[in-house]
Amino acid sequence: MNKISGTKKILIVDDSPTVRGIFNDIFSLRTDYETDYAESGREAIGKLKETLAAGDTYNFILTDINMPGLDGFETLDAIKQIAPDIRTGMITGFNVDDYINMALEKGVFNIICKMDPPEEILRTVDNLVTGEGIFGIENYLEPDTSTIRHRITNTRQLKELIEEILDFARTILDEEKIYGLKTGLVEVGTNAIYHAYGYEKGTSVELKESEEVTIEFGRDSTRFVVVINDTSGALTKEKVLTQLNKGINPSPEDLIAAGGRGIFLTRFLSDKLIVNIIPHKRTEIILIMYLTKDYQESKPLLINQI
Amino acid sequence: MKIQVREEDGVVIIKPEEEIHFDNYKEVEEKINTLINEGNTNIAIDLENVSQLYSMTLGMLNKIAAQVTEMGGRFSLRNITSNVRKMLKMTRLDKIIETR
Repeated sequence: MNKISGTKKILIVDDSPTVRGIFNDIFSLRTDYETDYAESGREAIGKLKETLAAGDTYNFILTDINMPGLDGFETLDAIKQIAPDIRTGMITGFNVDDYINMALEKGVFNIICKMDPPEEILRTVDNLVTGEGIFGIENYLEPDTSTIRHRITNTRQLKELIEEILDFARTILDEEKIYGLKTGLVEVGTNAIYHAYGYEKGTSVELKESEEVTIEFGRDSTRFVVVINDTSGALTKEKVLTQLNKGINPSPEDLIAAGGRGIFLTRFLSDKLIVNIIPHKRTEIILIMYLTKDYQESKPLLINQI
Repeated sequence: MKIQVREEDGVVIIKPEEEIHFDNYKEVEEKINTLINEGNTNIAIDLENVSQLYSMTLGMLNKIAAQVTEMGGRFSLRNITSNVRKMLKMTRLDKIIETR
């Protein structure tokens, strides 16, 4: 992703006037966004052609998925034919998991939930438009929230740190969320050690000096956030989406497979999972657990690869 | 890890005496493989001391279930906690691995 500075021109495609109105409210808070709206895929394509003909362009097009006429995937297909370099994203009020198969087929790695808090929708759009503010726990917590960061050098430390994090989280999260958090920490933590650096699973491991795994956590007034980083960057966005799809829509072979469920379980049991990747350099997994039961059902698809 | 082995009604039951973690589950797998190699094909794991399963342990259970079934035997899990049951259901392994 290349960085964009100055005013960002975005096109929002949604057949619902109510939703377009909500987006208008969200983006009117920001002076660095110029927003345009279309109520169908056809109208969006028309607007894009007109804009390009006038020597201008959109920095980002966000489309609803379920619309009469062209759906979101068909709309994005047409947009990519006309202007392959325009950044795009999808949004839905329905269950994102229902679209994972199609997302894999079409190479869509970001689907935002309409039910998400407005500030999170705005932040995600910001991330997608600018390519900034993606890596780092500070981007997912309220400003000036203090955090605790540890470097992990072996599997024993990982086990101890998971218990420390759970002790901290037990004071603010209910038992069900603790179960989800524990699962996510084990899955992502072990992935960062065993898979990232190629160690044999199920054994005690001592990382080499060059093999860095860090875990950072903190809480603000609405959420508990844990960020797990490794410097191998072994994961790819295609691999993450493939594994999610195998968990959501398993084939008979996937059901009896010996591995590959970690990322699916983590997303399923955490309130929000964000995967950030710089290939061969860095993988950052962000787990968010909200302090209340709000947003439990809205699980966006957020995979960013720079 | 200490692992108890007992036999009940022709079934060899393996009971880990502590949690199965990401850094010790190979010991359970090795124990079961030894029992299979000795000709035991009716095998159960007693999970009374195991509060939670993860993808790595699920993978191990899947491998053992496939191995035992291929040999015409039977594999099951016993004394499972609600969290273990939940995990099996989430991954749809409750359709593949017998629980008691």
